[in-house]
Amino acid sequence: MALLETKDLTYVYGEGTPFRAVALDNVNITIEKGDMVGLIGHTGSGKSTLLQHLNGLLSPSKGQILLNGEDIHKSKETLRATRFRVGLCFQYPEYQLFESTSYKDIAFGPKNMGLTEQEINLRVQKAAEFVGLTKAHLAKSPFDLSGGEKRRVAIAGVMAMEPEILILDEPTAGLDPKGRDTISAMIENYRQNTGNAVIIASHSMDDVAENANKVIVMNGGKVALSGTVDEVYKEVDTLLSIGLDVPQITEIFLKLREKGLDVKTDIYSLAGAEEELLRLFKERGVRR
Amino acid sequence: MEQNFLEFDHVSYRYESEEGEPQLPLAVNDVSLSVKKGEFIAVLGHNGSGKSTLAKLSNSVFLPESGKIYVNGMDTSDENYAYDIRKTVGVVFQNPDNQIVASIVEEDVAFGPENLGVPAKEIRERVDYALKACGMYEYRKREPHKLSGGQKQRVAIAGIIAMLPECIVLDEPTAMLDPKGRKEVFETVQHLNQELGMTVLFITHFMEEAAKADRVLVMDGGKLLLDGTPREVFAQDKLLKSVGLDVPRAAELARGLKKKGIPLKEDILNAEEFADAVLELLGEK
Repeated sequence: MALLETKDLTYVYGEGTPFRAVALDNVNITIEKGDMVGLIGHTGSGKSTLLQHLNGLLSPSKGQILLNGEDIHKSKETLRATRFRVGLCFQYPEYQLFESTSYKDIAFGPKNMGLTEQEINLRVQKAAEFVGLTKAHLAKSPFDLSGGEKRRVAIAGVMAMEPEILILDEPTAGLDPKGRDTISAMIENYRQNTGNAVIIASHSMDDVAENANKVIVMNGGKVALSGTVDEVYKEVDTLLSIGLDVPQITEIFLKLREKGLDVKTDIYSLAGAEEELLRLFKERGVRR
Repeated sequence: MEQNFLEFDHVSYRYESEEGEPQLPLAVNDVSLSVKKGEFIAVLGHNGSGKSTLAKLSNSVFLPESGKIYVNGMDTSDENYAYDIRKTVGVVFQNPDNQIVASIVEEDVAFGPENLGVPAKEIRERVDYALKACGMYEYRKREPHKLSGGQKQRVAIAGIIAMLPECIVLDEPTAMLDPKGRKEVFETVQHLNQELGMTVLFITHFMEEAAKADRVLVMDGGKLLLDGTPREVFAQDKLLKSVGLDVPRAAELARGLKKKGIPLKEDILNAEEFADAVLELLGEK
């Protein structure tokens, strides 16, 4: 049984009005324990609407969301429990900090779960460790921290609930390259240490290629592609036709093909690119 | 001698610390640089490197602690020039939602010239001109909050253009946008530079964008670390990585292959150049 599964998930905005729009159209996805899922799609593809269904913030117009086989909307209790079991971290979460210290901010989730003071403390320390925050950071007001530190406090706040599925919407948006790498490494660290699943919504095909083991591509409210990174990234034509950027490395191979060279175009990593080019050079007798 | 449009002469700046707290380190530390009229300059640097401070110094929002800044020969520390300098250099920020003030696109764009006391008829002309320059004329009667991020950012840029500045400084204008919006905004800025001759200072975290500029500045710890053409700057891959930055993927791949003994040409910046270099190597060009 899958950890999380959607069955024909459909969501319609403004039903019965002239603004009626189908945001999700029979979406079927499955998430397994320990997955690192990259969710890709441009603005308006239904990505965020899908994420908001996974922890019950939105209710489907049709279809189901099953967590460990149980419909999350079965009762008020299951829905409330789902909020803790599926943790959702929005885009630019640093704007949602509100407590007087970073510690209290991170403790807010665990507190709502009704845990003991001691357990809350443990959770906060552990989450802080995942994102590399020190005791000094925790004592400070989150508003006195740098932008990157604030973002980490906000992510720690969701991690502290130890959700079985951690969902992050564009967790590296607006960060510099080093900041992007740091946050990605911290999220991977959380996944490995807890064995929980992680879903990351991203615009960056390059980031997803490096971090995910499973990719879901949304377009027009539907799942356009899904599978392993290899399976999805080799569908270059589909990716281009729905207006997604292919990874920068793939772009190079598309250019080579366009200029008449017989090369593969389903290549997205530096290592794969080197291998293919070395093969080409060897075949054509280029001397090293 | 041709006068530089923007000139930083040994400029330092530090933010004020809270009362009782020790002095903060310099946010901008002894920076000297000059910008010619019509140049397109990209500014790179990790968060906290002093890039944004540089932007705010360039139109006298901040005044240097030491050193001098000249905009078209006007000293930014001289209060008499403050008004003219702000008219000459317009700044666009990261978050489009924080920069839009009106409920109709064209009214938003008119806000700047209205405040400058421009006559009504001329405001109309300027607003139309600015919206057309940013490709947003068709959206002039729309409500800004219903636009996409890239469109909103282009409205924010049009609002600056309507004040007819000679230089536009953009502080990570594409950071919050999706790839499509990012492209729209970048192309708009390229158009302003190439077609209207506007001087551009473009602060960004995206190496692919910086690779398209005339010149790239790299800031680190408040200092100007590198200043050169994209080719010169991205050749310094070790140095860039040591300060938390990247090089474009095509450059990285070319360097990796060279290490393995493939005699590829130097300083490749993008996919097009990479493909050409491969063809050349294979003797097909």
